[in-house]
Formats: sequence, structure tokens, C-alpha cells
Amino acid sequence: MTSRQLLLALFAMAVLCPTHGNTAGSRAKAAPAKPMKGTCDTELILAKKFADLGDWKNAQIHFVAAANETKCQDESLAGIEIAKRRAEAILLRNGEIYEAEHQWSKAEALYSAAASDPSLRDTTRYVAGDRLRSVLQRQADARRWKEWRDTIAQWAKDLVGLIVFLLSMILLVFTIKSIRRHRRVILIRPFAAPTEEVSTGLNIQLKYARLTMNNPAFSRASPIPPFLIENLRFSDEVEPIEDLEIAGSKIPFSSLQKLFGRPRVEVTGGFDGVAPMGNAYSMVKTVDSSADAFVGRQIRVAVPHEQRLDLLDFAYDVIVKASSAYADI
Amino acid sequence: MRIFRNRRKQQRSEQRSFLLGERSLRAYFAGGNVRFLEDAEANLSIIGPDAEQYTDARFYLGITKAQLRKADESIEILENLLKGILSDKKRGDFADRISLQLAYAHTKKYTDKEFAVAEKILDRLTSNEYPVDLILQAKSLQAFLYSVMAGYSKLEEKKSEFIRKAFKIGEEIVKNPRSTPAVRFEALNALGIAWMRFADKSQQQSAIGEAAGAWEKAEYYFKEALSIIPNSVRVLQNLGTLRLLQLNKGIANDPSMLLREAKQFVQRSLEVNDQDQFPFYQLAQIAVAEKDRANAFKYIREGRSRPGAVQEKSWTKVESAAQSLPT
Repeated sequence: MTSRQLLLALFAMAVLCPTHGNTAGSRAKAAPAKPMKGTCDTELILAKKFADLGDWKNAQIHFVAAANETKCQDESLAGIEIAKRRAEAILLRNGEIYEAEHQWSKAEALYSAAASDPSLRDTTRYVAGDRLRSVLQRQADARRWKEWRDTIAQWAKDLVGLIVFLLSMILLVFTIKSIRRHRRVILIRPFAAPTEEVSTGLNIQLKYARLTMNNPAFSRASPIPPFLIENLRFSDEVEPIEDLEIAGSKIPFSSLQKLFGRPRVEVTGGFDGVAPMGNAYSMVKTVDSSADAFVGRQIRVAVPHEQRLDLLDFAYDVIVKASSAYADI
Repeated sequence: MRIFRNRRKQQRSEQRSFLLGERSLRAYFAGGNVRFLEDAEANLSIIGPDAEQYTDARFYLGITKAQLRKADESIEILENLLKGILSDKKRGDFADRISLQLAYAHTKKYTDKEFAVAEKILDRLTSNEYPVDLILQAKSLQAFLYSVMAGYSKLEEKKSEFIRKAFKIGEEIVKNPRSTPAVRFEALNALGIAWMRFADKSQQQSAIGEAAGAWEKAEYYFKEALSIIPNSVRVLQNLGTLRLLQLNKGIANDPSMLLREAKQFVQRSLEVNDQDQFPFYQLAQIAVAEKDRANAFKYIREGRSRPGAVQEKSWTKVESAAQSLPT
């Protein structure tokens, strides 16, 4: 056999035996049941069977096929109507389910398709259109509520931001003021002593001395009529004096205060409490070291009231020195 | 340039001295330690007439000198200040305040001549042309002046009159609702002293019944004064004096009780201020009355080491009384 004869034979085979190819998709799609010609009874049986199974689409196809023959026409047309009604009822019911579940976009798509589907009955399309309007309305309401909620949330967020900003501004101003104030004060740090009791006692004497010096008219020790002292009209307190708050700072940003808020005059000191004659001392340090001072004093320790009086005198000394150092800067 | 720099330096130095003086004076009023008074005197004395604080400094210095028993210097400073102030139209009530201090300085000289000057100043300040507050202060000081005169004046025949005046003015102030606590305190203290003098005088004149009520009234007024300034050294020491006078007049059945109470009052005053001679002098007197020779000398020794206004003859008297006690 020549090559020409071989080619002719292959061509003849190709013409006589065509190859039929199927894709996965085309295979998966079941072909609709085709009515058999001339057998409307069979079609009706099939249609009823599908109807019994709830497959109204196929039932309708078989009813349509059965309607081609006159003898089955009445029954087929009635079947078609029932099938159509039931299919449309299911469609609307699906829409209601979407609505109940607040699946607005799905309900909208379903009603929208139904309202414009010419194969559906007018009544169904009208109901679908009505439902569509309702769904759109509710969607719009939900959107408006969401927008309003978003706006409120945004306002709240903005307000919180503003409050935080204002608070931080107040805090900043307060801190700056506090630092400035701190730079103008005489700061008396707690005095050191061998026991907590003695230390507390000494610090109380300092506080008492300060307060009595501010208004000495009613002092127990005052040797002249109190109104004669009132008439001297001493200023209440020329320079502010404050104590260091132990174990903590009075304001936030304490590190800032430490850095920038160095007091004009800082007073430190201690008392050894040694009986019968102890020693109390104090160092008055000015911010520029221009008027530093030292106060030292012997304290009678044996008799409690003598110790108290000596410590009080020492405290007056400290306040007088700190006060004049303050003025000297 | 150098002139300006020197001037500025001087101003600064004067400012510092003024503040030290002012603060020291405050410390003295607050605690009663004469050491602060000496500091005040030293610092206030160096303020020159060109200094901004000169007037205030002189005012404070006048008061300081009065407290240091330098009454003559105090009076001179205050009088000069007053003369300068009277020509100043912007003086306000400063002149009146100086006058009050001046009256007090004259009172503290304890002589009839100075009492008369103080009386004259206070008479002027109590006239109606002055504000009520100042009048009440002046009257309060008047009551104090008359109560002091009742004890220290050499005009024995007039002492009853001084006492009556002190009663009248003191009561008037105490009843006046506009009296401030400071004014009331002074009036009550003055009434206490006046009643004490009255009781002492009545005892001398053997008006026993009259005196008994007077001792109680004196004590009542002193205790009323203590309700305004509790543990006031001045009042506690007056109560100590009251008990000693009662003891000397022999009015109590149990003298040891009076001595115990006198000692308590004086010791309470020492708890407040132990830097003055007078309470030690009182304790020495009490120790002598108790026939406690050792303590009498101890208190005399301590008292003499303190600053104060107890006269040498008073110390000598108590010392010789202590000497006469059995060892």
C-alpha cells in the first residue's frame, strides 16, 4: 500500500466513524426529559409524577408536552397552571425567608429578577415588585441607621480625642505652672534622725515654727499684747514654703519637675538625738549657691520639754536663714 | 558705673538685713527667745535712711528695743518716726499704730512719769475721731496700763483709782461685741491683774471678805484669757504670781496646795519658753517658800543665766532668803 492509498483510507475512516467528545460540564448537565411524541398520556403520567415529587419545573415541561395533543389538553393546561402557581409560591417564599433573615441583598436580587421575569404571572410579578420596594425601603432604613450610628461613633471618637487633647493640655499647663511654682519655693526636705519618732518630731517643729512665724500674734510665747503684733502687719508669707512629699511626687511628670523645677531654696538637715546634748544641723542651699547657709545648734535631750523647745528654736533659726537666703538670690 | 554697682550692692545688703531682722523679730514673737531679738536689733540697726525699707525697719527696731528693755532708745526711735510720719500725707493709720507701740514702750518703763505719758497718748487715741478698732485697741492697752500702775505706781493714794479705771475699761471692752479676740485677750489679762492688785490691796487694808471674791475674780479673768490663747506664757506667769500673793497673804488653810499650783503654772510657762529670767525667779521664790534651799539656788543660777528684766535687788532678796534656809 502506497502512502497515498493509506491517507485515503484514513480519510474514509474519519468520515465514516466520527469521534464524539464530552466535557465534564456538558456531562454534568442532565438533559431535560424530552416528551415522547404521540404519547400525551405518558407525558401526563410523567408530569404528575414530577408534581408528586415537588419538581414543578419538570412537571410543567411534561404538561406542556402533553398539551400538544387535544385529548390531554384540558388536563395539561390545568396542570401547567398548578405547576406555575406552586413554583411561583416557592419563589416568593424564598424571598420571605431572605427577608426574615435580613439577607437584604439576596432578597433584593430574587425579587428584582422575579419582578422582571415575563414568564411569571402578573400577580406574582406584582407581589415581587411590592416586596422589592419594601426590601429596598428597609435596606435604605438600615443604611440610614448605620450611617447615623457611624456618625455618632465618629463624633464620640472625635469628642474623646478632643477631651484627651484638652486634658493633656491642662496637664501640661499644670505641670509647667507646678514647675514654675516649684522653682520659686523654699523646699524643706525631711530631716534625718536616728529614729522615725525623732525625725517626725523635728519635722513637726519645723512646720509649727513656720506657721507660728506667719502669724505670731496668738503665739503662746508672745510677750506683748497680740494686737500690737497684728498691727505690725507682717505679710502672710513672703515666700511660699513647701515640704517634700515623701514617697511620691505631687504632680505627674515628676521627672520633668526634677529636671526643671529645682526650688529656689532647698533645706536639708538632721539631728543626732544623742543624750544628754545632741546636735541639730541644717544646710540651706540656694539655686545659684550665692546665699548658702549652715545652721547648727546643740539640743538638750535629757528632758523632753527642753528638747522640744531647743528643736523649736532651731526650727525658727532654719526658717529665718532659709527665708533671708531666698530674698538674697 | 561703679557708683551704681556699689549702690545696688548696698541696696541688696540692706534688703537682706531687713528681711533677716523682720524674720528674727517674728521668730521672737513666735518663740520668745531673746536671741532672735538680738539678731533683729543687729540687722535692723544697719538699715540706712536711703533704704526703701527704712520706715518699716525703724518701726520694727523701736519695738525690738522695747522688748530688749532699752525703753529709752525705743521711745526715741518711735518718736522720731512719728514726727517724720505726721508730715507725710500718705501715712494712713501708720502714725496711730506707732503711737500704740509708743504708749506700750512708755508703760514698760514702770515709772509714774512714763505712765503719765502713756496715759496721755492713749487718752488721745480713745477719742471718737479714730476708727472703732483702734479705739478698742487703745482702750485695751489703757486697761493694761492701769492694772500695771495699780502694782507699780508710787502714788499709793491713787492706786484704788487706777484699779477702778482698769475695771471699768476692761469690762467695757469685754462686753463690746466688736472687740476682736486679740483685744479681748488683753482686756481679760488686764482685768485679772487689776483684780489681783485689788485683792492684795484689800488684804492689806484688812477687808478680808472683799478680797476673797477678788482673788476668785482675778483667777476667773486669767482663765478666760487662757481660753483665747491657751498656755499663754504671760497669763500663766500672772497666775503663778497670783498664787504667790495668796500664799504671802496667808489666805489658804493649806499653803502647800498654793505652792504646788503656783509651781505648776510657772512650769507650764517654762514648757513654752524657758529663755526668760522671770519664771526662774518665780520658781526660786516658790522653792524658798518650800524651804528647798538646793532648788532655790538652782533656779537662781538658771534664771541669772537667762536674759530678762528681773531687777538685781529682787535676785539679791530671793538669794538672801535662800541663804537663810537650813542646809
